[in-house]
Amino acid sequence: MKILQKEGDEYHLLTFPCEEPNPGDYLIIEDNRVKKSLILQVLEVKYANIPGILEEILRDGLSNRLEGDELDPLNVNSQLLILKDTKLTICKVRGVMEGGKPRPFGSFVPSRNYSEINPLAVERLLYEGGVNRPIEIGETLKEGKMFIDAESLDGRLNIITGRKGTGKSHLSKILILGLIEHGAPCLVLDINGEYVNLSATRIGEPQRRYMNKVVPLTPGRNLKFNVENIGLPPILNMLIYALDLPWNSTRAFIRVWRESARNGKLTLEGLNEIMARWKCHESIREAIQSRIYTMMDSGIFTDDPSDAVDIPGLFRSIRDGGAMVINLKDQSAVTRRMLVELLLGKLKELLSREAISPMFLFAEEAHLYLRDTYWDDIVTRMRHLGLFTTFITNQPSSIQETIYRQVDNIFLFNFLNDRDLEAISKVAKIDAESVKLIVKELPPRHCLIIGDAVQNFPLIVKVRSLDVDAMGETRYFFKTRKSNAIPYQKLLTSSPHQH
Amino acid sequence: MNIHRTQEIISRREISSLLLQPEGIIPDSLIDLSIKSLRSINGVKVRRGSIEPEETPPQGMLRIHTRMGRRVNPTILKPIGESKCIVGVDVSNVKTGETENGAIYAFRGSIVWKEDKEYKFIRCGPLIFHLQENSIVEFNLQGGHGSTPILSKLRNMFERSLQLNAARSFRDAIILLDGSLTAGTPDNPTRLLLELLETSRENANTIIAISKSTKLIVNGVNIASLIKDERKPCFISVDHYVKPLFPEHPVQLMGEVLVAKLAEGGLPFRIDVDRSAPIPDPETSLGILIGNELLGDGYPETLRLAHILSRFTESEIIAINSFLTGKYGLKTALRFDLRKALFGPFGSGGELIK
Repeated sequence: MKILQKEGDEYHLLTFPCEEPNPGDYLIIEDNRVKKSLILQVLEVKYANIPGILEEILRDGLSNRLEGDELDPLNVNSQLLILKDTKLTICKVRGVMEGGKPRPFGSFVPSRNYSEINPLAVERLLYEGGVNRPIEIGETLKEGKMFIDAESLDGRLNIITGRKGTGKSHLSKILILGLIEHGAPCLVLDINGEYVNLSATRIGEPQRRYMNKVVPLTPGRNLKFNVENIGLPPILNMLIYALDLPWNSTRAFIRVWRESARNGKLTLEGLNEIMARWKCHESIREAIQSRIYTMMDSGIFTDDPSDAVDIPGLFRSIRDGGAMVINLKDQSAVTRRMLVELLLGKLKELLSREAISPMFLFAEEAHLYLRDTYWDDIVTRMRHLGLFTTFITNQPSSIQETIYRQVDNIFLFNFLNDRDLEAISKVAKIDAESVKLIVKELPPRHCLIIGDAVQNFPLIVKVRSLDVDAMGETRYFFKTRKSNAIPYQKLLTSSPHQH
Repeated sequence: MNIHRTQEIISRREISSLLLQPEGIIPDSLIDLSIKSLRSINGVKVRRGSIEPEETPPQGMLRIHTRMGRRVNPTILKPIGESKCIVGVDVSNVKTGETENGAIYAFRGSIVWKEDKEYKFIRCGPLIFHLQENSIVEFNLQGGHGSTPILSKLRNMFERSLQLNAARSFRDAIILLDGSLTAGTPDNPTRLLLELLETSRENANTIIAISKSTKLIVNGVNIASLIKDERKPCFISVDHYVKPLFPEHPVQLMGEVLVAKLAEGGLPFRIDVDRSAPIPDPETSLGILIGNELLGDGYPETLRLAHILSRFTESEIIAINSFLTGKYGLKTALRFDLRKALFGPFGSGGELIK
């Protein structure tokens, strides 16, 4: 490998066929004269523009159409083949090596004559001080297993995003189980009902490691709320943000709530009764009563306290490691929004009172149930209270730019669409060009990790397999029916409509 | 020393077996000379050459004055459908760099033939030589013409060996050469051309040489312009005007000299046809050529392909120098431009200051 040129923080290297790096690989340029080293990451590998290569390829194209032989007594053509396959490797500066320690900042211009370029092993980049709470993510491109520290997710905002079917949920399960193993509590908003069997193996057998650590909660079945236990603020949040209760009706509802509490009738029925005879404008009465009926019809409220879930108790049950999985599958959009408002409202209240320990929230396709104003709330206020969110989505444009600017860790799977790439390139921790170039090339189950989890040295990882019940797998129609494959060639030659 | 020979490189397919002695196309003596010359490279610095092929220095025009008062009518050529194999042979050489005490040259040649409407080829080379002042003595190539540039001698040896191989390998074919059938110059001995023509005749082959440029001037005009207004394929024999110019020794015209257009609207070329070829008259041999060959712009496709396959590209020069660096310790020197050193930005006419 040779340094060809430098443009800004980009280095162009000439690489020969035997030493071709791949996008995502790390290289180190060691300048032996000044005893400094530069850390580079490969972004793209192109063909080098060798003088005369156009004529060479044109002639190749011509001679390939002819039958011919080469008599090359000195075997010079082997050199030409090497030359034709010489590549231009585009790299970005990711930092420097100082006294054997990697630093994700700084730069210098190494000598072309006195520098040596070599591959840089990932273990020389990551966790020089060791890993306190390792979570095995998968394998790097060349060096085998790759771990991140669970602490790198603590107090952080994370995003997992990628095209459909690239392995986002799979990675989030790895992170959740990793956090559980290290004694962390997690709350999972499970839009497709794929996390509910997280503690079971692929064949449905319970895993001892996670026994009683995963608590699946299905709204209306083992997740019902009692308005009195929940309290007024979360209920108000739900009414305003999920059920769009107007402000003047909200004021009336607060008065009705207080009246019900004085009468010892803080139930949905009680609220409805008082509302029916409450002195107010008919439109206000109608607005509030229609919301109360919606709450009753949702099936997630109960007036029987023994039938209601003890939310603080639930959170305490996973205090030493566990996941509360809220199964949002089969719930209407309104019910989903109501549930999330109630839960997050209650969570915020418990966290601010320090009644429960900090928690990791995993929100899959959050744009389907999270109101706009919640995003900022989650990444600012709730973060300080102790709720550390991981958003999982295949629609990166559904996440606001402000979130990308504040994200601490981002796990990027493959995207091809330019609009998606444009959205994720807003991540502040890496330049847009790197994201676009690397992410476009990622094969399935591979992700680019950016941020604190990789100590700010972006890394491509092949995500490991996981022996868990894959509840999130798509149900298919044809896969369950027998079929005999017809060779495509046969289809082309057979008469039409024969099949 | 055991060198890496062609039989290890060549993949013996049907094509190679068509040639009688595929591994003998490049004589061992030339390969040995190449390796011997390359051994003198060790540690020598080289300045890169260019891809402009080394042309023989232009010689003076041969002016023929004749009382050709009236316009000579050309003979119109008609394609003759008799099926024959058409063979084209061409060689290219290039200076890949200058060393402190000489220069490095590379040769490559190709034999292309058309058979059953398909073109096939065998490409030979590159053969590389480090030529220094004493090379001619060292290589023992003096042979009575001590002052002849060694480059021309080596090129001629290489080219004749390819042509001779084609003459031996094909029967009843038309063999096209690039250039003329003139011999007897120091770098182009008559002996080698005679051997080629005799071998060719023995195998019932007809040799035709086609020049892309000619220095023959008849009555003040280049002979190519004698048929410039003719659209149809045709030829004029200028043999009896040209022949008196060449005394018996040393230079000899070994073929009948014509100026011809081989395709409608094509370009005119000087064409030399072997006088004693199995096909006795040029009208027939050129008619068979027209009937069997693609002639874009009036130039035969086999020769065009042979030229394209032989010619060196810029990337090949880099590859050759890289090969010499790896195997013979050649070092690349930065080009020292004396004019630039002396005059800076004013050193070359009209170059922009960047």
